[in-house]
Amino acid sequence: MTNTAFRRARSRRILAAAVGFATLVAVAGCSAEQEGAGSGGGGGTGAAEDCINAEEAQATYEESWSSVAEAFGLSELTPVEEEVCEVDPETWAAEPKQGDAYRIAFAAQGPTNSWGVLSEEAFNYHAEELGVDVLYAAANGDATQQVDNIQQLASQDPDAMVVVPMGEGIAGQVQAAVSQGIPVVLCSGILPESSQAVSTVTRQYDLLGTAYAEWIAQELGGEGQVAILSGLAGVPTAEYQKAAAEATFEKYPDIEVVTTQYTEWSPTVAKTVAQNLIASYPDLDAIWSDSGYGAIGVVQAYQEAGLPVPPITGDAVNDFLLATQGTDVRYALSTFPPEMSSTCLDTAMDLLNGEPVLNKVYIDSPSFTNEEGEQYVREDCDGGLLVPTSAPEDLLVELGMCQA
Amino acid sequence: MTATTPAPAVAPTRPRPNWVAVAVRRGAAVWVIVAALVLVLSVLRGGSFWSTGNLAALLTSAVVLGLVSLGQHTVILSGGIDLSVGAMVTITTLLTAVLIDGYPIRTAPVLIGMLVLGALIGALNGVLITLLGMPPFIVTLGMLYLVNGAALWISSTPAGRVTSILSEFAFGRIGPIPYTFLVLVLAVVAMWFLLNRTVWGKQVFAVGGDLHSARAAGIDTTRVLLGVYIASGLLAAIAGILLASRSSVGSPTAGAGLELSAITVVVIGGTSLLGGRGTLLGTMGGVALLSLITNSITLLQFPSTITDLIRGIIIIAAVAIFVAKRR
Repeated sequence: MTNTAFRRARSRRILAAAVGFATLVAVAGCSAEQEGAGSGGGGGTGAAEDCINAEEAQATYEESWSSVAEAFGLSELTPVEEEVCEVDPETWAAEPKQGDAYRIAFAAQGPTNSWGVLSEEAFNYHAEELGVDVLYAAANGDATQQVDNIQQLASQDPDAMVVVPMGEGIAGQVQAAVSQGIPVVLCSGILPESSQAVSTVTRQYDLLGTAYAEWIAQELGGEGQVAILSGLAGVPTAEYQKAAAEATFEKYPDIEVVTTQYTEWSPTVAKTVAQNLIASYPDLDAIWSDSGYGAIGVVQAYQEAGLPVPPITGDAVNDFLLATQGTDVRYALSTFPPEMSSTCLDTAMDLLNGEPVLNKVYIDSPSFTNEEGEQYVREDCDGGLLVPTSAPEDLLVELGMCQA
Repeated sequence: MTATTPAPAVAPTRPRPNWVAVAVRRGAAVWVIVAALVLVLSVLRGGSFWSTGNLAALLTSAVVLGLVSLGQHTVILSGGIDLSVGAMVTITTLLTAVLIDGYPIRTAPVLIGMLVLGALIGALNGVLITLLGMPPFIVTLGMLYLVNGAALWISSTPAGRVTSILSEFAFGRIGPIPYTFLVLVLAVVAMWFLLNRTVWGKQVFAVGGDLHSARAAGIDTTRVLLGVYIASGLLAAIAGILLASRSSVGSPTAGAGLELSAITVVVIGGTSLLGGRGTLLGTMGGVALLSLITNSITLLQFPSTITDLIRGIIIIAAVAIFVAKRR
């Protein structure tokens, strides 16, 4: 009995010592230096040296900022530092892997809203025009699902892949696809450089967040109370724009951000949020909103309360323009056009055809204020349409988004 | 008086075994649908479906859901429910990447820390449910919000990064079998052993079948339920670590919706939501079915607008045929 107890205690001690030793070995065997720490800044320098056609590429990037500054009448809108280069055209040039037509994988958002529908339909429409086969997978807005989608699409060995990133959680899988020899083009979103995506085609989050904030600062003459209405907590599309706005407002010591709320990009939620704003901050001078859907809810809440709507920002949703038509609401709008998916496809095709492609293609889309708002309203179209749109009219009619 | 003649004695006949009911009870029924789906995919897209890459994608997609469902299976078996598993995956995914942040020396301690964190959150659920007598639905729902809120507080944007050794493990495979799938297999074997070959396992079934009777029979129900929720938390933490390894960064929304998928899988597998009845075979069949549905939707290139519709129909059909038949 005593012997058994002794043996058990000894076994436990041996096991504990073994586990402790294994842990020590595991820890001691690991490097104390951060992986890739040298290549973070250093890589940038190296890349700068190799940056092909840097000057021209940089100019196209800065153009997207200057056009918004002009549209909003901003005297100052400094582009955030960004290194844009040309991708070596030889690297990804290739003949179709199967048959005569290229097969392009499209890891899409999914038809979860009108933006998602138009993004996919514009892609398919353009693919048909180009005679390209599409391998499609929808994430339905879920980054975890998209990780699986990308792996499955990559297993079909497509010629190239276009990914609408649902979150940075897919970076590892994108990197795996690129390592497999598939050129990946990110579309309407960004990922860290560790993803090794060949090119990113998007409207810049920093640009929208900063431009809206600068417009508000200018409207208020650099002083006043501002509320920030962001989209969805934790979602990069919302968080990056919000961060850019916060950084801009910090430059103005007399502008006070009194509250930051989330509208879930829903007019209904935004309306409730705005009703609370009216009660809590009656002296609010402006509202920074990242979306037109949020802005619609705000306009409704203020109008129902019989109060003047403070200057507001957002993306150019047709519904917002219809709601503010004929009113004196002051606003600044821009777009995050869903039909940029066709540019994403063009970029993927250019890579395969050995044409020059930039590593970052920042889409320049129309921006405007309440002074030009009237000319962009589409009374013949659905309220969810982002205007102005470059999507083909016949496609809009086919999708039931506009009348024939 | 009338004379009554006794009715001729009828030889007792053995009732015919209802094979469907037996299959449902043993969790094999869902595998019939899985087999049918595999057959359909083999006929329609044989080459693509059986390709090494696609099989690897299919197995990889089952890992995180499988681990979380394993925990959910045990909790439901004990008569409870764990709505916080998705949030636990989220916070362990985020913290794994944030705390390691590319430093190899931190890998081992952080992984151990994440397992402890998962177990602690599970233990907290268990304590609130057993010692304070709060309903599992409410406790774990509250924990879902609490943990998700903590994750957003830690970082509202994706942050940190894992080390190359974790990424290599997440993407490594032997033929079509990913290393991460082996983790799931190990977890299933361990849970099967615990549930079917230990006293604790028998007690889980007993507590799920009838809590009061189990208590009256002298079972320490508090200890059993604590163990169940700790196991669920631990498995969610392993899933979170693997998800971070695969994503390479930490995301504050990584595990969103996993709790519903896990419950769906357990129900499809034939486990009673009232507890006390269910098999791991059935739950793993549910994981296989859900992964296969997602895989087939991409493989067959169904229009995007009907993907959820197809998923919904198959789930309802499976539950209608097999779970109803079980009664």
